[in-house]
Amino acid sequence: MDKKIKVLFIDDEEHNLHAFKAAFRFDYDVAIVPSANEAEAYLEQNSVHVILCDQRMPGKTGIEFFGSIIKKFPKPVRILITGYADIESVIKAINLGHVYRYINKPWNNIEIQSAIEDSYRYYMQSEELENKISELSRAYKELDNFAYSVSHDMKGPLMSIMGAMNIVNTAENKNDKTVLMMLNLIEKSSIQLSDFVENMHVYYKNNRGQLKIDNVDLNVIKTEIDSLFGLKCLQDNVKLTIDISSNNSLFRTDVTKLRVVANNLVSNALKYQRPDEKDKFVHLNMYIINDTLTMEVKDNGMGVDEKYQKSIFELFFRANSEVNGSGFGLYNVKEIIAKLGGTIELESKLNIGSTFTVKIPSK
Amino acid sequence: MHNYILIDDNKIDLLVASKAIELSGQNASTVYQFSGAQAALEFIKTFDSQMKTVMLIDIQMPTMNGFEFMDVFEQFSDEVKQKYYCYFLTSSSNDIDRLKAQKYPSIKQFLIKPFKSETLVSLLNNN
Repeated sequence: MDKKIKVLFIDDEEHNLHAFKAAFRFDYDVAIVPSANEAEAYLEQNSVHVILCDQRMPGKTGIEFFGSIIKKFPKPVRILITGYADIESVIKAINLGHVYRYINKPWNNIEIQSAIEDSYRYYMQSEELENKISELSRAYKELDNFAYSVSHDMKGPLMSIMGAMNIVNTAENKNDKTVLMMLNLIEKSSIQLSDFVENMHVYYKNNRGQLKIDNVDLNVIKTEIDSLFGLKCLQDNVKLTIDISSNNSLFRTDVTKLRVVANNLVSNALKYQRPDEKDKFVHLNMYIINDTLTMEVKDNGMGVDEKYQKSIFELFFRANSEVNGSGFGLYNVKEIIAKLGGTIELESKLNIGSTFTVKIPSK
Repeated sequence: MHNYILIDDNKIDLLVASKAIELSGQNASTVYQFSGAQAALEFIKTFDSQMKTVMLIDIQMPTMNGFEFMDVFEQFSDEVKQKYYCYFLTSSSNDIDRLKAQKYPSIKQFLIKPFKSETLVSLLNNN
């Protein structure tokens, strides 16, 4: 035990107080008081794990005292010491939950010691339970929010599909322009929904999964990104360049997670381009110095308004109504980087462009 | 005949709703589409028409959501507000959203997507 158990001992006989303190002051953090009133005053000021109280005292009895403090100080574990055979009232007190243990007078030190250790264990277990309960109710609340956002974001594209289907069904000529247009929209919505489900899977995996550390060659990441986004860059007329600007290209990390980070940042850079920009570009630069990988993703796209820059890593936050985002991407990226022990920073100007800088230490 | 204002960050839903309006036989009306609530507010400030305007407002939108939009809209003068029939149009059937929607006197109904031409016809018959 790193901390001493804090014990409060109450007895109206001064001799007992001193005997108790002498016997236990080395093992525990002992406070002694001669009356129930003084005990209450002590509890107002100090935190206590275990209270031992004599039953027969002038004024309040031990049981009355325990009953009176239970609402205000529910946490300390209560032990009654009684020299009389008033077993009836002791049983009643135990049944009411006012007393955890009782000890017969005259007490012996070993009995007291084991009662204190037991009570302390009980105290710690109750506290842990309380922490777990509050953790659980917090998680439950988060889950509520999560379920709300997820069901909205999954229903959105589905409702679009149903709306489009509805128009297709009411069209007289199934080959007219409207029908073809709606079929196109149905495809787009389906892709959006499938992206969302994919991102949700990444979110879940990152929350649960253990890291799988492996050797990775940055050249492999480079090739993957090239083949993944090459076609889209051609279609959208964006110049994608990928550099590895250090001699060393070998690194140790969770490859799958690193891939998610790189893919997300590059895909965002492509997604949030300005249509009227003539020389659209996305530049990915990676280098390793002192066992730290730096990954910069730079673009000359829409940029992020300064007032949203703090919020873009929040779950389900979207700063843009022009482009369909899920609100998952950057949240996943941030969480993954945190798991890898790294950092991510954004430098951005609205309508000029953005640079995301990721730093990850080698494992 | 009516004007229409559609506010939705999802472009597909804008198109679906405008097609539904077209198919309902109201095709002589003008449909104004906005993918952000802010832009729609700016438009309403200067918009002037003899006809009434049906407004369909999505709830979950980035930067300014449907509730925030209505907070501002309700501040407009009665003279402006009485020219609009406002409806929330959302994919959420969430009870909290539904309750929140009742706070806005100008909101006539809480509609669930997808928007259909039959829905529109029955709405207009009720006005």
